[in-house]
Amino acid sequence: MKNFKYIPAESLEKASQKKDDSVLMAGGTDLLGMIKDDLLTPETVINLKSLKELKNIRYNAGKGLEIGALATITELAENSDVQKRFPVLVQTCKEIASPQLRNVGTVGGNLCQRPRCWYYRGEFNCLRKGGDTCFAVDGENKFHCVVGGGPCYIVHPSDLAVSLLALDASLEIFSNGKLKTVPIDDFFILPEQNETKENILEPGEIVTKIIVPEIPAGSKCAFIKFKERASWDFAVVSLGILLNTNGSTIKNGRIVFGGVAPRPWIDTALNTKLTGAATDEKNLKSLADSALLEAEPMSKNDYKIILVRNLLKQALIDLSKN
Amino acid sequence: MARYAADYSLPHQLYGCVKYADYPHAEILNIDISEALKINGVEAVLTYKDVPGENRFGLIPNIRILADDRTRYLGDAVALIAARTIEIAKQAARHISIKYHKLPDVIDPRESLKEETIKIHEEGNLVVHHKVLKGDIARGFKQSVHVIEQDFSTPAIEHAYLEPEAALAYPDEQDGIAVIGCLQNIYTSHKVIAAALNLPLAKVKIIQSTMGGSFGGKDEASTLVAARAALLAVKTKRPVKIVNSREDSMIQSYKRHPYYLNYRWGCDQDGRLLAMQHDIIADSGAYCSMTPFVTWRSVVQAAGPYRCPNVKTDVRGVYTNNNYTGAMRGFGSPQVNVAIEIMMDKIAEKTNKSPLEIRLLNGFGDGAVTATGQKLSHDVSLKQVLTIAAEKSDFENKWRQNRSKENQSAPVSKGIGLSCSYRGVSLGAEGVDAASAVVHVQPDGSINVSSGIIDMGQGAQTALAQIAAEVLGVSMKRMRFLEPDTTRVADSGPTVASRGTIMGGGAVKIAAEKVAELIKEILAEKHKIRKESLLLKNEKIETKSGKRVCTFTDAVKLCYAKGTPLFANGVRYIAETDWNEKTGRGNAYFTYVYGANVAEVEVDRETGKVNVTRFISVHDVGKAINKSMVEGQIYGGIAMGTGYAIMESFIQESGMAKTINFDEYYIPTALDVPQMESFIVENPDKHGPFGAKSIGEPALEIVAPTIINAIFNATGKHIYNLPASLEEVLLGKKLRRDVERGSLSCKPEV
Repeated sequence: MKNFKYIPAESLEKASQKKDDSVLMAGGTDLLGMIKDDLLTPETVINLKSLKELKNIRYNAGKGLEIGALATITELAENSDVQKRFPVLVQTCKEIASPQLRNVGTVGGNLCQRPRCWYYRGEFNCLRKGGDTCFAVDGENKFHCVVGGGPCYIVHPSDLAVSLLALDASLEIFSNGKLKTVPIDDFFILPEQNETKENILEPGEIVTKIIVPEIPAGSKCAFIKFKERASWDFAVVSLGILLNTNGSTIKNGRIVFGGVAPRPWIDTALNTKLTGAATDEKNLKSLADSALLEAEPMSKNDYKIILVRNLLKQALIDLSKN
Repeated sequence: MARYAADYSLPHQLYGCVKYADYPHAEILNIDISEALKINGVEAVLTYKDVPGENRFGLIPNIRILADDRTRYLGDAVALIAARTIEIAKQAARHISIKYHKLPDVIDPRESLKEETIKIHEEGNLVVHHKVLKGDIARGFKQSVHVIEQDFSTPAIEHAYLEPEAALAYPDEQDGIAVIGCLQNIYTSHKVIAAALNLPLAKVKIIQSTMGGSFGGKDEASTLVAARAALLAVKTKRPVKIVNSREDSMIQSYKRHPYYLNYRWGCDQDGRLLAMQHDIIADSGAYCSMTPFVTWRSVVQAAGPYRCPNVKTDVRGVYTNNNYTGAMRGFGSPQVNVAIEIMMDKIAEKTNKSPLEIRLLNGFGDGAVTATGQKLSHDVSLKQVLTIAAEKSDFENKWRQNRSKENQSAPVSKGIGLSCSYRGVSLGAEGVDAASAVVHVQPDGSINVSSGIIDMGQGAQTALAQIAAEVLGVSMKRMRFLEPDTTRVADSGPTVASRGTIMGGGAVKIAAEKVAELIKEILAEKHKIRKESLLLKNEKIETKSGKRVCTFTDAVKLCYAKGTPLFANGVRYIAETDWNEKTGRGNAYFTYVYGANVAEVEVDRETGKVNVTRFISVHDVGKAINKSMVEGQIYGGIAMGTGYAIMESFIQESGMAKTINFDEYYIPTALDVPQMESFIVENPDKHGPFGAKSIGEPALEIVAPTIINAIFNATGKHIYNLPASLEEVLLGKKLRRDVERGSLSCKPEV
C-alpha cells in the first residue's frame, strides 16, 4: 500500500474539482481494500463524509423516496418509511455483506463499487486495468458473466443496483457544477462501451441522490440473492422483480438479474413477454425457462443459467399467489 | 490478555517481507538485488547465498527457506528484505529483478509420475509409495458376488486459522538469537532455525506466543516465517518482525492434500466385505512437508473400521507445482474416509441393507484384526457409537421415509446420512512418541505447569493443568500454565495427531505424581506415618482412613523448609508400535478411537443448495478430562467438516492461488453450520491419563462423508467429487476447463 494524504471534503464543488491523483471516498469499504491491494495508488483520499446533506433519506407521498448517496446501507434498512413502503429495499440491504460492512458502506458506494473478479483484484494486468487480456476467458470463470460480456467478462457486484433497477430508480449526479438526473438503466454500461469502468461517471462526477418512484399500487416486489455462503458473500446470481398481477394474468412487471452480466441485466425479450402472460404454474415455468436465451456461458459457469431460471420460476409463482 | 506473535515489538525493530517467485516452476539464473539495496530505509536484502547454514529442511529436506536452484510454487520466497517500514520493504521487493529459465508446470498430480513429465526434484516426482497387502486380493474378488468400483476426488483446503503467521526475531545478549512465534512445533522450528543460522541449539531460543488457531497449519509454514525473521535479525543485528497478511498466508502456506482415489470393493450376497482394493494419489505440491506421514495414516486407515480378509492399498504422494501440502486436522484420514463411507453406502444399496445394518455387519468388534494385521486389544466401541448415533437421530425411520419418491422428487428433499470411523491415536509408528512436562509448585503453593504441547486454542492449557490439579488434589485456582520455550521444556514432539492430552497429559501426570511423591515423603517423615497411606485431595493431605494431616499450602511450606523444592519433570514415552514398510504390516498405533456421525440435510433440487440442518456426533474419547472442551472440539470439527463437505476448495490456476482471502475462499459462517448435538462415550484406555484418548481430529474426520451420504438419501444421487458445491449438486459435475466458449447449451430442455 502506498501512503496517501487524507482530507475531508469541504464542499461538493471542491470535491468534484479533485485532481486526477485523488480519489473520493464514501464508506470506503471497497476503496480502502483497493488501496491496500495497490489497485489504486492515490496521492489524496477525499472523504465525502463531511457532506452531511448527502446522508438524508426522505419520503414524499406520491413522489417516492430520495436516498442520499452517503446514507449507509444500515440507515436505509432501518428507515421506517423504507420499511413501510419499500420492503424490497430492506430485503436487499439485509442480503448485503455483513452487519459491520453495512454499518459503514453507503448506498452510493454500493452502486459505484468495483467488480470482484479475481483477475481484476489480483496481480493480472487485465483489460479492466488497462491491459489487453481478459484472463477469465481461458481461466477460472465460475463466477464470471454469462451474458453481456466481451471483451471483459466481469459481473457487477451490487445488490442494490438490481433492486433499484427493478424499481425504475434514477440517480442524481453532480456534474460540472450542476445536478443532472439519469435513469439508473442509463447509469450502468457494458464493457463493449468501455471495459475500464462500470458506469457513466466521469472523473469529478459524484452521485448525490437516488430517487425511487412509488411502487405502483397492486404491485409486488422481491429481491432474491443466491450465494454460496449464508452471509457475507456476493451474489452468484440475484433477481429483482416487480410484478403486477390481475388474478390470472400479469398486468405488467419488470425482472432484473444480478450476477450474470457486467451490469444489472434486463433481459428485454423476457420482460416483453410479461404483460398479459397467464399466471398458471405451467406458463410461469415456461416463462422462466425463456430467461437468458441469449446467454453465452463460459467454460465453468453454465450452472448460472439454470439457477436463474429455477429461482425466477419460484419467485414468479410466489409473487403470483395472493 | 492474550499476546499473539504480531503483538510483540522491540525498540529499533525492522520489518521483513519476502520477494515471491514470479513463476511456479523456473530455474533461477540470476537475482539482482542492487536496486533494492539503494532504497533509503532498506537494511538488508538476502538470497539463498546469504544463508550461513542449511537452507533446506523437512522430512525429505527439500523445503527451501529461500529458493535456490529453482522456484517450485508461487509461494516460494526468492529474497528477503528488512527495512525500516513494511512499505519500504515491499517497495524494495518490487526492485529485485530475477532472471529465470521458465520450466513446464506440473499441475495435475495424476500427470506427475508419467515418464514424459518434468522432474520437479532431482530424485523424481514420487515422494513416497506406501502399501498395505492382506490376504489374496484376486481371490477375494473372485469370491465376491458384487463388485463396486468408484473414483473420488477431494480438494486442497486452507486451514483458515484466525491468526496468520508472524514472528519477531532478535539477537540476544550472548551472541544467540531468540524468536517469538506462533509455532505448532517449536522443537522442529528450533532445529531448523539453528541449522539455518549455523548455531548450536543452545544458542537459539524459540518462545511460543499465544496462538490463534493452527489446525495442523503452523508447522513448516510458521517455521519458514520464523526462520526468515531470524536470518534477517542475524544479518542486521536488530530485531526483525515479519507479519503475514491473510493473502501472504494463503499464498505461502501448505494446504490439506488433494486426493484422487480409486476404490474397488467386493462383497458376498449379504454385503460382507471380501475384497478391498485402493489406489490413491496424493498431491504433495512443491515440497515434502508431512506427505510421507499423512499418506501413511491413509494407507493404514484406507479400509476403514471394517473386517475384510483381502486388502490391497497403494498410496502415492507426488510432487507438483501447486502449493505444498502438509498436516491438517485429520492428517490423511478425511480424504480416505470420504471414499470409505460413500463406498459403504453403495454396498448397502447393492445388498438392500440400511447404512446402519451394513456397518454393524462389517464393523470391527472386540479383538478385530485390522487391514495391517493388528489385533485390537482395547475396548472396540465402534458398534456402541454407531448404535447411539442411530438411536439419537431416529436414523433408520428417517432414512426409510426419505427414500420415498415424493421426497426425492420434491423441490426441497430431506436426507439423513451416517458414517463411522476408527482412528489411530497419536503418531503411531510414524516416529518417536514422547512428550515432556514440568510441574513446579511455588513456595506459596501456587503451581506452574508447562508442557511441550502447544495450546493453539484447543484448550491444552486447561486440560493439562486440570490433570496436574487432579493428581495434586488442589483446585484450578492454583494453576498457571506457561507457554513453553525450547530452553525450559524438553523436546515433546509436535502438537499434532490428537496427541496433546494423551501424551502431554500423560507427561504432566507423571511430573505431578513425582511432586506428590516428594510431598508425601516429607510429610511421612515428619508425622512418622507410611507415605503410602497419604492422599492429596480437596486442598489437603489426609490419610486413607480420612484423618487430616495438613493443608496443601502448609505441606508445600514444609517441603521448602526442608530443602525440598517441588519441581519435577515428567516424560511420557510409548513404544508399542511397529511397522514393516515393505509388507505394510504391523501394529500401526498403540490404541484407536471410534466415532459415528449422523447428518440431516435439505437439498434444494432447483438450485443445488445443500442446507445441513442437524448434526449428531458420537465419540468414544476414553475419558473426557474436560467435557465442555471435548464438546467444543466436536462442534468445531462439525463446522470445519461442513465446509469440507459443501463449500471449501482452494482454487489454483496453473499454480496461481485464486482464493487468497475469505471473500473468495469460502468457509462456513455461523449461518451455514447445522444445529449440533454431541454425545461422549467413555471407555478408558490404559495408555491415557485417567483413560483419556483423543478428540481433536476424530471430531472432523467423517463429517464430510456423513453429509454426502445424507445428500444421497435426499436425492438418490451420489457425489464423488468434493465439495458438494451447488454446481456439483445441481449439475452432477464439476465444471471443467477447456470447453470452447459459447459451445455449451443454454437452451431450455424441451
